[in-house]
Amino acid sequence: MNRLISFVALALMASPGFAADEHGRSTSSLSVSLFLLVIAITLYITWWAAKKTKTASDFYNGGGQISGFQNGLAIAGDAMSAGALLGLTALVFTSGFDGLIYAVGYTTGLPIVVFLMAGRMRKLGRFTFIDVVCSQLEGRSIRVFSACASLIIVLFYLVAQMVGAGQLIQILFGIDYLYAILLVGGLMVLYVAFGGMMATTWVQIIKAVLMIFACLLMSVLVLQHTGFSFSKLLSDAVGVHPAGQSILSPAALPKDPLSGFSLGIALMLGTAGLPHVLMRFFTVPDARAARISVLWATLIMNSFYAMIFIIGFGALYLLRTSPEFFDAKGGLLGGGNTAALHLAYALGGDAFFGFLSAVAFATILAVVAGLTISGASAISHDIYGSLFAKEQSDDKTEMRIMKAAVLALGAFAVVLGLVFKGQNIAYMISLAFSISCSSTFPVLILAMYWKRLTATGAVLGGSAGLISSLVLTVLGPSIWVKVLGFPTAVFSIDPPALITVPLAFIVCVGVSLLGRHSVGVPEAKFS
Amino acid sequence: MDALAGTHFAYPLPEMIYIVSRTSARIHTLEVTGQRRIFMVSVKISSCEDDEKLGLGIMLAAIQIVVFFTFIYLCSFQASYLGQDIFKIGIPLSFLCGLLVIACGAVLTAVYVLAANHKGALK
Repeated sequence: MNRLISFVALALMASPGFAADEHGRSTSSLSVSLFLLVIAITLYITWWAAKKTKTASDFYNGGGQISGFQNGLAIAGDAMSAGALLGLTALVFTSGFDGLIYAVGYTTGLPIVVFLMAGRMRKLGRFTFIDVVCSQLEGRSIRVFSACASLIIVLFYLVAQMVGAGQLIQILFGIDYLYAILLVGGLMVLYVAFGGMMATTWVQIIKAVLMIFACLLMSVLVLQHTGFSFSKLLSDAVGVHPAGQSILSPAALPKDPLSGFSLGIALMLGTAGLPHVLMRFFTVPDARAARISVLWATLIMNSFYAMIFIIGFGALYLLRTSPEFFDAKGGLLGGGNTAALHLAYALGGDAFFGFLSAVAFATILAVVAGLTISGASAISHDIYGSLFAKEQSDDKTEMRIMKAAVLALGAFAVVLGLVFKGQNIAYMISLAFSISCSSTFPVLILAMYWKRLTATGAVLGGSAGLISSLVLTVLGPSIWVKVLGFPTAVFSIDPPALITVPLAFIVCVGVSLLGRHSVGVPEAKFS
Repeated sequence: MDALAGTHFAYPLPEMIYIVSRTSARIHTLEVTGQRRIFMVSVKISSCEDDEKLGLGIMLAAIQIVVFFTFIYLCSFQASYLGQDIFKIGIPLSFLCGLLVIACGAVLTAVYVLAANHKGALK
């Protein structure tokens, strides 16, 4: 372990990375030092956590000994991805209020999880939500299906993060895309394989604290420009945006209300089915701590998304008044996703820019590590541990499989990251949410609350949701038109949740009811 | 114990039947066959704390869903109305509604968690 860490440190110093940067702001020595500091801290955490990680339980859920508040920070950290900060700020920067609809939508999923799922999930499961589903349904098919659905969601999410990470690190630190992807892949394998859930959680906690601090500072500095008046910020923003007054009201939803409602469903229920978020409910000692962790997570996360209102419009106003941030064609230097970073530079110069870049980098590492551990546990705990292991699989073997799964996932993510280089991958996150809300969510909620659900019903219903999400997304605007280049979409509702979620529920319930008649009811014995 | 939930048992008891359960147990049918009385009892043993709060959970989830989809409805069909500065404070209704949805999620979660965890103390 120690040797590995020092090897990574050496490789970093020798990497051909930090060369001149042709994409955006020149790489300052401060950003690079902060970048190295982030890596050093996360490696230290991994080394510390590796000493404590001995059993399979330590691996999957940090021994169940993470406190409610710490876990709350980690859950909030999962939600506050680099995509959320940079992507949402960019969205508000270009289209105003429309971007904020996403910010609002992302906050609505967690409360549903705590009201309907957290307590019961804790009671029925051990490491993953799949345990919960399988505690209620018999047979291997449902376990294999749930594990595959988890893996698919995790992979889409992971690839989107990897490609985003590669581009971002290239812009921020001037490291070549290939090395950036290898670096992220290598670090995430190290954290998860050696530090398990403990390291993953602590990396997430530290990043969440840094992120909240950075956003708070940014909001205060933005408001300082307008004499701490949000209304003045809005009126100033209207003054500099070409669309004028219309940036203050929704523009996209009135044109396509069906997609609007569908998006609402995907944002709300999608969060409630994401395996890497659900897995966090098993890292705390009991149901009570699980609930406390969601309370903290909600408070932190909702504050973060509320701050996006200020940061987004701050970027919209402040950047548009300074031509130095734009290239000759009028586009933002380094691409639209850098709006938040340019804003940091406008507010606090090199120091704040470097700090926010380091936070964004830490965020990427934390989120990919969280995804990796959740995907690897689906492989080692749910597929291997339950299917191939003879009777009770022993901890040691399961951990070996886990480490192998982490390595395989890491390698796979790096390869996919390189394959999708430079492509429009915005649809991947949307796909992850669609699949999550129309396959894992319906199966999980029915398994917990509807006693008559059968394994066959769950497998067929979940598959119907999964396959229809995939097919309809491919035929929809975000792939059929934007990626494949056809003039019009075959299926226009994007995301397809409005159709796929009811479909999944109907198939689950229908098949379960049809299949029930053969099961003997014990009453017959007594008559 | 959860494995027993929903299962039907026959209790051949002579006179009386006491059911000790933390939640609910119902006598479904009562048959008298010769000298023996057979009670068919549906024993429902499931963890109580959560089930007590299930009603509250469903209610709060319903509120959360109604609030969020009202917001989506307003954004879809009343966009021009949302753009107006109704309260003359320089902040249009759209922003206030958005912030309201965000605040609503936090308040509902706090209500539920404090109710479900009784003793309060956030540790």
